[in-house]
Amino acid sequence: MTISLSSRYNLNMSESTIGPYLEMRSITKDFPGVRALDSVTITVDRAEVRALVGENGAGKSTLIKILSGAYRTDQGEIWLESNKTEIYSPLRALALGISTIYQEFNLVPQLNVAENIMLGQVPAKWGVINTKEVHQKAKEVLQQLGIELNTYQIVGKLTVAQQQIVEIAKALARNLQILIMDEPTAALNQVEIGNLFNVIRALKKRGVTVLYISHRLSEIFEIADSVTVLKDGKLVDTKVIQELSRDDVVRMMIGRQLTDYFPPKDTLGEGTVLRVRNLCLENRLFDINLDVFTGEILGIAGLEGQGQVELVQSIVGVIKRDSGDIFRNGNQVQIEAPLDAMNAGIGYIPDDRKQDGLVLIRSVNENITLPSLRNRQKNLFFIDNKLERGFVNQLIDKLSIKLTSRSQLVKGLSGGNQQKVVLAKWLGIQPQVLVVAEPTRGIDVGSKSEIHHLMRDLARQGVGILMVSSELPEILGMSDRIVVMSRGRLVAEMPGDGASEEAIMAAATKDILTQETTYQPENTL
Amino acid sequence: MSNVLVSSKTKSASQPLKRLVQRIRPVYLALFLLILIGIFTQPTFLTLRNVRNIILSSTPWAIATIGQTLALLTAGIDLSIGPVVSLTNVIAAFLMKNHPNQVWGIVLLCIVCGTLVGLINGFAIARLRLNPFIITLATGTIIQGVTLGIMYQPGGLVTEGFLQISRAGLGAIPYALFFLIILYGIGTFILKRTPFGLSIYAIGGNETSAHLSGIRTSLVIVVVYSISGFLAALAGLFLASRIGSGDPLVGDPISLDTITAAVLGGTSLFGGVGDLIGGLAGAFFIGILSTVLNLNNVSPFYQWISKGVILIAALALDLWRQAID
Amino acid sequence: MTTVTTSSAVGIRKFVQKISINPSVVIWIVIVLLLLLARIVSSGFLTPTHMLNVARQASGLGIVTIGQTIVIITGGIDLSNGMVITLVDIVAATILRGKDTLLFPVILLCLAIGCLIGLVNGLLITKVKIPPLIETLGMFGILKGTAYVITSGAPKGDIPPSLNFVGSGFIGPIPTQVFFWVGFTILAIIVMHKTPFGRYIYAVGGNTRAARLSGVKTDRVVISAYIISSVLAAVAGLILAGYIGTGSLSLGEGYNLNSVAAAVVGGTAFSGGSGTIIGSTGGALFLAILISLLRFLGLPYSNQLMVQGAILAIAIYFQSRSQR
Repeated sequence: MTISLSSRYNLNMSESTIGPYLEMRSITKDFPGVRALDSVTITVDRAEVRALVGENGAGKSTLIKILSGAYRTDQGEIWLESNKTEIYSPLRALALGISTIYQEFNLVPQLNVAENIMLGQVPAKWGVINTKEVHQKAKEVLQQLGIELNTYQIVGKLTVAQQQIVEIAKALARNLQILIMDEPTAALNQVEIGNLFNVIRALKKRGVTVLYISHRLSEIFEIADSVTVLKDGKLVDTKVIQELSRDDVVRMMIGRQLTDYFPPKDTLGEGTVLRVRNLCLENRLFDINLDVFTGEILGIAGLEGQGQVELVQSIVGVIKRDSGDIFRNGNQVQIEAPLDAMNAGIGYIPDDRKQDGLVLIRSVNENITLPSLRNRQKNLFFIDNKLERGFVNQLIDKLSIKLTSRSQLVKGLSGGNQQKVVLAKWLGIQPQVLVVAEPTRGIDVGSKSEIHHLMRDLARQGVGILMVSSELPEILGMSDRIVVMSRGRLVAEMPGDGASEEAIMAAATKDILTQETTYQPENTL
Repeated sequence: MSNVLVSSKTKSASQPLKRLVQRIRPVYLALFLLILIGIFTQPTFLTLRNVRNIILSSTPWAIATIGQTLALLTAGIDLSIGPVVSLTNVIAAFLMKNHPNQVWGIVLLCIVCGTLVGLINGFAIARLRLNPFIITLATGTIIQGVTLGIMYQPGGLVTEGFLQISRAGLGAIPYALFFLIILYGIGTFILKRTPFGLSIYAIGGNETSAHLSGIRTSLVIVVVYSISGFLAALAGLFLASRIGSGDPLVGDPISLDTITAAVLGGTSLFGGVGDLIGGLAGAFFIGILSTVLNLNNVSPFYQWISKGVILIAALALDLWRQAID
Repeated sequence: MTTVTTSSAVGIRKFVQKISINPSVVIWIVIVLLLLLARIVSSGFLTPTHMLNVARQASGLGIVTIGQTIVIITGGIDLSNGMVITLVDIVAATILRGKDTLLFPVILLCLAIGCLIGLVNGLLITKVKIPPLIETLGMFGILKGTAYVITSGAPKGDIPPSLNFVGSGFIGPIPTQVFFWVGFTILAIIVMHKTPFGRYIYAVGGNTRAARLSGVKTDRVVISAYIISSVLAAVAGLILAGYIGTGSLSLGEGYNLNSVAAAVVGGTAFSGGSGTIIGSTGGALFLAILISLLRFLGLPYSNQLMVQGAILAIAIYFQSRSQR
C-alpha cells in the first residue's frame, strides 16, 4: 500500500472531496488540575487509516472520546467534510456516522449475531419483525467486510475476535463514515489480527475512515497509512507511514532514543526453581516438561491460543490439570488452587489484569497487600498500619508507580501503572518463581520498558521467570531461553541469544501447516 | 484474554437422562411430576371440579407473573406487584359495596391506579436511574399503606355480576383459561416477534448497547413497568371477583411468588434471558402445589418449606444444565 | 500534561466535595435533618427518654443490618435473616416456657441454629452457585414453614425474665439492647477495617476472581459472611424475644427488606465491594427514627407505611445523586 497522501485525491471516487474529510482544529480539553489536550489539530482524509500513537496520558483516549461524543471539547472545532459540526453526545456522533469500538465490547450477549448487527433498525412489517430479512441484511453487511459468519449464533458464545467483527458490522450497518478503534488487537491472535486487517482494508475500499489507537508499532506499520503522534497532550507530528521508521515513532512518542529496548541479559544461577513434568490437560496440553533455572527468564513463544495461557494457569492452579507433577527446588508440591501456588512461592501475573489481577474499585494499598496480609499483622488478628504503610510505599517507590496516594482507587490508574500494582502485589510475597502472561499487553512504550527492567532485576536476584508473550520482540529481547508451543505441545527450544523471529515462527507454524489436524486452534473465523 | 475453563473433565451422567434434562426446562419436568404426584395421591385430582379450581386459583398469579417476567427481562424487578394486587382488590370491593351501579367505572379506576403505579416505577428506574429493587420496594410500601388505610380488615363486597366474572365459562371450562391463553399468546408474540419485544431483551442484556443502537430505552422501561402495574391490577380484580370481598393483605405473597414462578420458568435474574410460557408453568406449579398439599391434608405451612426447597432445587438444576452446555 | 497548581480555596472545595459525595456521611446528615424536622413537627419527640427509646427500637434492626451489610459487600443479599429472628423466638419460647433453667443451653442452641442456617446459605451460594437472592428467598420460605410447623400456627410459651432484661431492661438510663447494638457495631468496624478478613470481604465483593487468584479463600469468606449474618440475626432474635416476652410468628417481619434498605441507604452498593458499617448504622438509625416519629405523631400504621415508603424513595434518590 504505497499510496501517498496527495495521490489519494486521484482515486476513483464519485464525490470529489477537496480538502480533508475530518478536521479537528485546535482542540483543547481540561480536566481538574490537568490539561489533557493542548490545541491539537489533526486532519484525516476519507478512507485513510490513521494510527494514533502516544504514551499513556498523551491524550489519545481524550481525543477519541471527544470525537465519539463522550466528552465535549473546551476549545476548538470539529469539521466534517468542510462543515463545522458539534458532537454533543454519543448518539449524535453515531448519527454523524462516527462509531467507536472500545476494548469492552458493546454488544448484547444474549442475542444472536443478526439481532446485534441490526439492533435498533430491525426490518419489520406491520410491527412484526421479518426474521428472514434480519438475517439476510446482517449477512450482507458481513459480506461487505469479507466475512462469513453464522448469524444465528448467540453473541455471548463467540470468540473475542468474532465479537469484534460483529461490532464492526454493527457499525457498518448504520452509515459508517469514521470507525475509531481503541487497541483492537490486544486480545487477538495472529490469525485473527490478519482477519481484522482484511476487514479494515475492506472498510477502506468502502470509503470508511479508520482511526486506530495502538501500542503495537509493528502492526501500525502494516495497516496504517499515516501516523499521528501525541505527547503530553500536544501534537508532535502527523506523517505518512512510509516516511517513518520504528525508531522515529518511538522517539517522537517519548522524546528520547530507545536504543536499548530491552535490558541486557544475564548469566544464570545454579539449579532449577521450577520443574514441570508430564503436565497434561485433556485436549489442550500434552505431556509438557519444562525447567526454569534460578535467575532465568524462560520465554514461551508461539501463535496465540496454542495452550500457553492454559499451561501457566495449570501450573499456578487456576485450572485443574489432569496429570503432571510440579517441583519447587527439587521438592514436589501439590498445586490444586492459586493459594497452593502462592504458598509454594510462585506468583502469577495474569494476562487480563482488569479481570484477574486487580480489584479495580478498591485502593492501591488494598490491592498490593492482598496476598501478603497475613504477614502484615502485628497482633494475632489485626493489621499493623505502620508496617503496611512502609511496605506499600517501598514497593511503590521501587516500581515507580505514579499515583496521587495509596488510597487511590486502582481503576483510576493508567494501564502501565495498573500492571505495576499487580507486580508489586506479588513482589510483596517475595516469590522465587514468577509466572507472567503477556506482561506488557496494552501498555505504553515507556512503562513497557520499565516493567522489562524490573523483570530483569528480579531475575538477577535469583527469581525464575516463566513468561508467556505473543509479542515476538518481547520474547526475543527478554528471554534467556525460549520454548515454542504449538498445539498444546512444546515443539522447540532455543537459547535466547541468537534466536530469531524466523526461527520461532518456523517452529510455531510447522505443525499447523501440515494437513492433518488433530488439535484445532479454537478461534478460526 | 484468559479462557475461563472450569474443568475440562465432564462428569459422565447417564446419557439419556442428561439429554432429557438438557432439552426440557426443569419447570416443565417439575410440573409434570407434580401433576403425577397429585393424580397418584388423590383420586379426585383429575375431576373437572378440581381442575377448574386449580385454573381459577392460579389465574391471578399467572397474570401477575407476566409483569414480573417482563421486569426481570430488563434486568429489573418489581416488588410492588403484591401491594398493587391488594390495592385494586380492596378498592374494587370497597367501592362496589357502596356503588353497585358503577362496576365498570370502578374497574377502570383500578386499572388506572395499577398502571399509574407502574408508570411511576418505570419513570424512577429509567429516568432517575434508581435501583429497581429499592424503588419498587418503596412504592410497594406506600401502596400497602394506602391499601391498609382504605380497609384495615377484610371487608367490602362486590356485586353479584362481578362475582360471576371469574366463575363464568364455556360449560365447565372457565373463561379465565381462555383469557390466559389469549393473554400469553399475545404477550409471547409481542415479546418474540416485534421490535419492542427485542428491545426488552436488548435492554436486559446490555442497556448501553441498546441505547446506542437507537432504542428508546427509557420509554421501553416505562412501558414494561406500566404493563406490570396494569396486570397486577387485573390480578387484583380477578381475586376480588373470586373471593367476593376485599382483603388488604391478599397480595402479600404475590411479589415473591411471581419472582419464584418466573425464575422457575427460566427467566434470569440478570436480564436478557427468559420467556413468558416458562413463567406460566411456574405460576401453575405454585398453584397446583397448594392444591396437592391441601388435598393430601398436608398442613399449609409445609407449603412454605416446599416452595423454598423447590425454588433452590430448580435453580440448582438449571445451573447444572448450563454447566453441561 | 500540565498540572494546575491547587490553591487552598480549591483544596477546601475538594474537601467539601469529598465529604458530600461520600454516601456513608450523607446518611448522617440526613438523620440530623430528620431530627430537626422532628423538632419542628413535635416538641415531645426529642426528649432524652424518648430518644433512648428510639435507640432501643433501632437496635434489633441495627444488629441485623450489620450482617446484611457484610453480605451485600460480598455482592450477595440475605433475605432469610428476618425468619431467623422469628425462628429463634419460637424455639426459645417453646423450650424455655418462661423459666430460666435452660437459658444458656437454649442461647447456645439458637446461636447454633443461626450458624447452621448461615452455613447452608453460604454453601448453596458458593458451591452450588445458586444466586443469593433466590437462595435466601428459598431459605426464607423454608424457615417460615418450619416456624409454623413447630408451633402449628399457634405459638406457645414465654420468655424468661433474664432474657426479658436483655430485651427491655436498662443499664443506667440506657436500654440494654443499645449496648448490644453499639458493641456489635464497634466490633464490626474493627473487623472490617483492621483485620485481613475485612479486607478479604471487600476484595471478594469487588472482584471475586482476582481475589481468588491473589490467594484469598473466596468461598470461605463468602460463607463466613452468611454465617455472620445469620448469627447476628439469631442474636437479634434473642434480644427481641426478650423484649416481647413470648413466641410470635411475626416477630421478624420486615427485617429482611428493612435491613437491605438500611444498608443501601447507608451507602452500600448492590454491586458489591463498597459500603461501610458506619453508613449502614446510619441507615438503620434513620429508618428507626422515621418509623418512631410517624408512630409518635399518631399516624395510623397505614400512613406510617406510606411515609416510610416515600422517605425511602427520597433517600435513595439523593443517594444515587451523591454517588455520581
